[in-house]
Amino acid sequence: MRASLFVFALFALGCSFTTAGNFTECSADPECGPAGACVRHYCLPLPENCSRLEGAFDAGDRIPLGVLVPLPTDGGSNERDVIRLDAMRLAVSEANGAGGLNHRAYGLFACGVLDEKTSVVSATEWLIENLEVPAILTFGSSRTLWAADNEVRRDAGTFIMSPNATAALLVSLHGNEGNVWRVAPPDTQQAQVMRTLIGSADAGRVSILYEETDYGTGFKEALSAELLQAGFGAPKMVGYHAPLDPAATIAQLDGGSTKNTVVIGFPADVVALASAAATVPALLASAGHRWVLSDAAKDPAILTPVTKPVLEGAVGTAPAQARGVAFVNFLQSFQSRYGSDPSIYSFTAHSSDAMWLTLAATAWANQGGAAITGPSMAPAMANLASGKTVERLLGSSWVDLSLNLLNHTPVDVEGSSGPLVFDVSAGAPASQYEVWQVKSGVIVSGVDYLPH
Amino acid sequence: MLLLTSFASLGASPKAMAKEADRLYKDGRYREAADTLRAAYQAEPNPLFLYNIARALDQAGEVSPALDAYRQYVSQSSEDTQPELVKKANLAMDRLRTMAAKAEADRQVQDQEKKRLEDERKKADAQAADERRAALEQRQAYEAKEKAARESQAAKVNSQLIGSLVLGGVAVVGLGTALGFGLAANGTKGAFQRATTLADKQGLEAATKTQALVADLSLLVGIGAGVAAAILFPKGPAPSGQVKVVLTPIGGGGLAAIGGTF
Repeated sequence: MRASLFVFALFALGCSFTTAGNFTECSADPECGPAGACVRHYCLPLPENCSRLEGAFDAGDRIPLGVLVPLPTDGGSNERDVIRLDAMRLAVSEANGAGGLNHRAYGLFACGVLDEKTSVVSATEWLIENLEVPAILTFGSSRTLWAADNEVRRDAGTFIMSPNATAALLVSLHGNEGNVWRVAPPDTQQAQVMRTLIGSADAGRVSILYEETDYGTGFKEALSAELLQAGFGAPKMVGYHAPLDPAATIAQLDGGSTKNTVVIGFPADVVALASAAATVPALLASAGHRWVLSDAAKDPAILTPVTKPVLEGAVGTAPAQARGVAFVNFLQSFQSRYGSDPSIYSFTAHSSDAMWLTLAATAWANQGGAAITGPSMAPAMANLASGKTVERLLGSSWVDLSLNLLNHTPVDVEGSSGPLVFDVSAGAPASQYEVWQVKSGVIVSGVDYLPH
Repeated sequence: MLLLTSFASLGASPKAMAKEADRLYKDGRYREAADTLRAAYQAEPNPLFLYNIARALDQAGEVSPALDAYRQYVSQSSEDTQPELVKKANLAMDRLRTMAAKAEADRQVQDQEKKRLEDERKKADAQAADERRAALEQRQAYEAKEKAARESQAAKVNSQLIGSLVLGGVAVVGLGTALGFGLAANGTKGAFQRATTLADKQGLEAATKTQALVADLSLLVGIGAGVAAAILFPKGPAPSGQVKVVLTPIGGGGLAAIGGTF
């Protein structure tokens, strides 16, 4: 009896004492395998489409950041997103190369997301709840809206930053939810530039083809209001959504009277619509028709053998790429590291700035070694103006910039996309726009406009 | 008396009866002689007959009747009596009175002795009764003491047994709990290792630690209770009472109940 009790006790002993410890699974990400992350000494498997993208992941105290990368389902050139992502990677790499922040390196985790809410929300929540990222960078208005307008994000106060989300809805979302920042100004400003580009009211009837998304709808409404205010007649507006039927969409245009057809959509849509318009004589340049394209269409992919003749002479608007020291430096560093020209796509400089601004906000939050959280990063955006010192968002300036921000010293910053003076209430800076044109089968950047 | 009756019925003469009485007297049949003479005296109140009655009764040892007869004789008138017989009668009465007094004294002595003996017997009986009662009381007291000692010992043994069984029960429950929570902790640890989210990892780590802590505490309680039960378990023969461990369901859950019959 006593022997049985003893064996019984030993068995129970073995079941408890041996399980009460050893909960530390890792000290750095590589210990969790190529598809894992080390969070609070736990190994967490990264979800499908997520990866460790850029940073010093072998450092146990790396500062995690997340980026939602569009998966190439919209037909656009994947290279466009790759280059934008590379611009972000370059910023992280240069910041880490300059010593990181308080001797801590950054680690950028990327999650590919489809152009659908479920995919974006799932990735956003995983990054916040598991990687505990204080900031997430997003591409596109819809993805930014889905990521930001989310209960988990709202509860955590996660810092959202997008280089190219321009939907007007984001202004109110930032006002209501806070911490939804964009490097590019809202489309209401681009609409002003586009109206100026179209010309005066005697330029002929304007038709608007727009994708029925937050971006397309918001831009369409802003442009329509601008046109009406400028004395234009009510534009013909034709919305479309996936799957796009280009012939049917083009057929809805009043080919005979439309002289300016605005396309608010992405490169794949532009290619399809232009291809369909190739058979409509009234929509050719020879008939006095002109295509006006939005910022999302500034992509060499729109120029195919079929579309080149149709789109020859087409004009477009896009947030301007800066021409200053920061842009030149970014251009050189990018080409040196990746061997390609980032200026052929829109928002590449904005992507770089988006990442630098995010890093700057972490520096502000980290004053005195404080925890870096979304809410503690937000005040940085109000202090990137009215400072006496101008800091450029470059690797070579990172030490000075981060030290100023760590000391809560306001500074003015100049990014690759130009001076970045944030309208804190809108969540975006005022910015110049450029007019670009399809000339001799290529995209040529032209004059910069400052919205009135 | 039969002789007197027979003589009277036969109509014998007082002389004949006196003669017969004389013969009976000489034969030593003094009482019969007295009776015959009494019959003769009834037939003929001759004081001589009365004197002879007294002599016969005197010889027969009938002291009091003899004295009565002598006294009756001497009380007769002197014309009817003979002085020599009166003298003898007085002497005989003196002698008989002495004898009667002595007999009375002897009787009194005997009565006193008898009474003394009776008192002694009664005293002895009472003493014996007292001794028996004392012995009985002593034995009862001894038996009561023995019984109390046995009951005390039995109660002590039963208390130890109950305590030992209770502690044994606690030990079993403690070790069972330790085993259950130990296995649960092991399972939770496995779930922790398989968890893929931070919340699950944190929750399962906390759960594992809690379960392991409960298991460890239960184990300590179980071992302690087991050792205490072994120490407390009574040694030697089982007590007269019986202790039963009964598992019985009760409202709200099962409990082990320990009861005893004594």
